[in-house]
Amino acid sequence: MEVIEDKKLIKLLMEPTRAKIVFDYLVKDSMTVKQLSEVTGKNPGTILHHIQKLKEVGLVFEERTETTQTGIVQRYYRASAREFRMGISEMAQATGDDTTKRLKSIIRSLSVYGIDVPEDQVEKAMDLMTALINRENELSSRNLIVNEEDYDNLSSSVRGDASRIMRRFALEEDLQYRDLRSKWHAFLRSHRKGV
Amino acid sequence: MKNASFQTLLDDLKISIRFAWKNVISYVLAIFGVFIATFILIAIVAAFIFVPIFLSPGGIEAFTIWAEAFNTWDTASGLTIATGIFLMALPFVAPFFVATGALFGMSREIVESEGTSVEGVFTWYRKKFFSLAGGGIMVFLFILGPVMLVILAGVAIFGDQILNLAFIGGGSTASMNPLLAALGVIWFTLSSGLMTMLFPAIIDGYSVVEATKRSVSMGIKYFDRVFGAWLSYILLILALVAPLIFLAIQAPMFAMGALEVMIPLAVYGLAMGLFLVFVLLPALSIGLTRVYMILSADDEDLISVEDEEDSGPSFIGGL
Repeated sequence: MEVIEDKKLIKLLMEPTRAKIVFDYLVKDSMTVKQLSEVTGKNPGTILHHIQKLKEVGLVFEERTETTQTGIVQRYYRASAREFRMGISEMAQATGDDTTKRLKSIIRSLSVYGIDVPEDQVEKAMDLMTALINRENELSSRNLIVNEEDYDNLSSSVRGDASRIMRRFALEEDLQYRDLRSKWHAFLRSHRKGV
Repeated sequence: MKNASFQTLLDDLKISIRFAWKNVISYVLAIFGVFIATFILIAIVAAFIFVPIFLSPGGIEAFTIWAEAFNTWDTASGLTIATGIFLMALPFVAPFFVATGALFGMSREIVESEGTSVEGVFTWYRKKFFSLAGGGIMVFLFILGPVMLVILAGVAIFGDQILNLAFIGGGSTASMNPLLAALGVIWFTLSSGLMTMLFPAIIDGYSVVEATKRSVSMGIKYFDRVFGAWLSYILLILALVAPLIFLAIQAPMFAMGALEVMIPLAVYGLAMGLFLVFVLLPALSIGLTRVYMILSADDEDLISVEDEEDSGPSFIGGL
């Protein structure tokens, strides 16, 4: 997993189509401009411009080229990491109020699960959540793979499942993460309706 | 796949013409739009150049003297004027190259995804304007620059009389030395061939300098494929123009104005002109883009991958 901390890259990925291309499609599999154009409903030219931008900054690379019976020369693009996460503090710096607004709306949305955070506690909730996510990003970006060659031979679904198991294990092993998580959970518990 | 054979070159031609024909409406509208924008741009460039000339001390008289120099040019002043024209032409040719380069953008969309749109050309025009203009100036300098340098060096070393060797006869009857004409054709073919991958490389995101290096190195490494493709389009254009040239040469033999000659000639000329501009020019850009994409892929990447991955739902949820 790669944590994106470069403000320029974060800004680049704030564009919805680019974010969709990377996070929804190219992290999972390699795709052509034509395929991306079909799934996103955007015209091939627009997709090609986005791909070029993403390629320039190294988020996407050309995996292979195939010529078809019709004469088309298809390039398959893929994200440079299987999973991306954006650094919260860098994201806040890059996007300003947008990230803060989004974090606040996440916290308020917890009310649908019965967790009502009063307005004067929202800042505290944001701090706790940011610290937790930052630690999670830090740990998740460490390379846990010991055999790269065998890893590359795994299918994408097996690779995804194995990666999630091991990342969860790595988080549980970390004392600081466990401490932050208990504080966050205690905060959530204290605002649960009926408690 | 990267090397040329008669069949490969034939396929390049067939595929590119088929795609150009399939997208002919998009290309017609795009060519109209983009060249109108180009003429406006050239008018603005001309205004920037000529308005100060007219307003400068001496004004129109000075400009008239400069223009009249063309009528009285001898070898020495001719050389100075030629150098001046060469440098003055740069800002005027650049917009044409931007327009042509934008067509390569459309072609890239077709080669990669089988489709394009008219507005696509303007996006490329806008987004790659400076790179394409720089590319155009690079093509112009790459092809004509060495010729100018050779002439200037020749004059500097051997004096003005070296230019007399370049031409046979004098005044209005002067014609180019056949040996130099042949050398000129060879140089034009070679230099323009080496530059054929420049616009596809710029569209692929490379800077002008990087794209030039890529174009030249591809032209050398895959000489047969690059020059094979380039020459096949040149030969096709020549084959289409040949009947007109032939008839123009033979014209004195016919009674001038004879309708039975002029009407078919005009009809053919019009049809061929439209085909050249709206089908063959796009086909050329599609063909060269296609060759670029094949040649720029790593050898192992060109092997068709059957596929490695079995996809399926994730059993382990996110954190």
